[in-house]
Amino acid sequence: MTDPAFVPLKHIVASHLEDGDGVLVDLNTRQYYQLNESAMLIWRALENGFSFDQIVKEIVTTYTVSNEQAITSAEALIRQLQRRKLVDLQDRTVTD
Amino acid sequence: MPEILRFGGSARASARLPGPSTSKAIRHYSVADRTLCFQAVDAPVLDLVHDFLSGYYFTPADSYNRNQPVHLIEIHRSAPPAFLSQDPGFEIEDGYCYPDHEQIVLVVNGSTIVVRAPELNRTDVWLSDITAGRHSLALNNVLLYAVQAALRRGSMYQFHAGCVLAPDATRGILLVGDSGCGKSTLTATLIRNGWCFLSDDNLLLRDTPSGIVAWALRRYFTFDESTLDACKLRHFPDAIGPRVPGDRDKVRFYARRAFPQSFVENCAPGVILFPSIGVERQTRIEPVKPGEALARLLTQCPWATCDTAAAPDHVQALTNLIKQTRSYSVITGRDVFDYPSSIPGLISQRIDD
Repeated sequence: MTDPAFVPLKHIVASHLEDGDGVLVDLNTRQYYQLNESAMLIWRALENGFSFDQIVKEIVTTYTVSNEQAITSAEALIRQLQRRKLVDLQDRTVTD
Repeated sequence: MPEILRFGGSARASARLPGPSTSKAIRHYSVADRTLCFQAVDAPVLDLVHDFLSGYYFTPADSYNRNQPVHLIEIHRSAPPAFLSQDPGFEIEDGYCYPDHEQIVLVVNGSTIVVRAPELNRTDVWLSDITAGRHSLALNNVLLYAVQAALRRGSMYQFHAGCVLAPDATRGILLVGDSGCGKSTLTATLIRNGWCFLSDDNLLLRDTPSGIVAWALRRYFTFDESTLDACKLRHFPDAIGPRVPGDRDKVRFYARRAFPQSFVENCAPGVILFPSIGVERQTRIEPVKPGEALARLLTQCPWATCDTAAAPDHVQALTNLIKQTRSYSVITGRDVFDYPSSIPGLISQRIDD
């Protein structure tokens, strides 16, 4: 069974820093992006192949926010990542 | 709220492989425990290379570790092969860069440099007559691009930064920033007050299993006349060299001649300072968050985002550097000039807090 999910693109190099922040480097555009801790949490979840629901759950577990706030935040960031061509919507195999 | 705090970019083909080489002249040089091999059609061309390398901490290597891969830089005096570029390329100082998957093509001062895929351990330089014959500055520029690229293929990264060590310290302090940010003045102030040094502006970073190690790369410093005066460096006339070609406001300063006991060949950095020139009376030192510090380093290291084949390791090396250091911004005040002897204590105190 396949399920569409946002996946980090191969030309993106991610740096994870110890305080949770991070930097993404786009080797195609030669641009870099400095991300805060919660944005990097979402990026890491995308790297690990999490579904959107799993990402929202991860945010709610990590931070003191409601489910609705987590959905709004995750949607906004993923939209930005997609607009900057850092992630792409791809089919992934889902095991039951 | 998850957010992208900021973003930025750095400064801004495929070549046919050359046929079998008929070149005979070969010389090896080592830097930071690594060896580069230079090959050219004749010895005079290698003499030009030797003159260029003598300004840096490259040493002729009669013997070297043959178990280690050696990067070959072959210098041709023929016309370069035609190459087709898929990438529109981007401007670099004195030329253009055309990335092409694992290799990059640089056209600099009329000469062409092709940096091959990492596994080939090879860089080819087609030196134009214009470059070689008429302008030593242009020749140095071409060779510098070729050598830097070859070093990147060996996981060693040229880094525009000063590096100093407090007396008796084992970990270095990097001074990072654009030209004119005050890093040379700060470096000179600290050295004048007994600190040790690697360089004022030109280092090599090497990613090792035990962490990032900084090596001195260029043999001389470059100072404004005003820095020589402010830091009382004219007391060392033997250390003051000629004016810097292409930048007549600066002179070369051979710091090892003035402070022979203070030179350190390499060290592990423990602190990064980002100097800037302020207008206040007192110098201020403020912590910088790791993500912000890494973003600043990326701005200073354009090849970390441009040399596609080396970029992932280059970015990782800068990340490792951030992980092993603490970062601060230093907004220098008038006290750097009025009370220079107070600056070392101020820095030591602040970064030890």
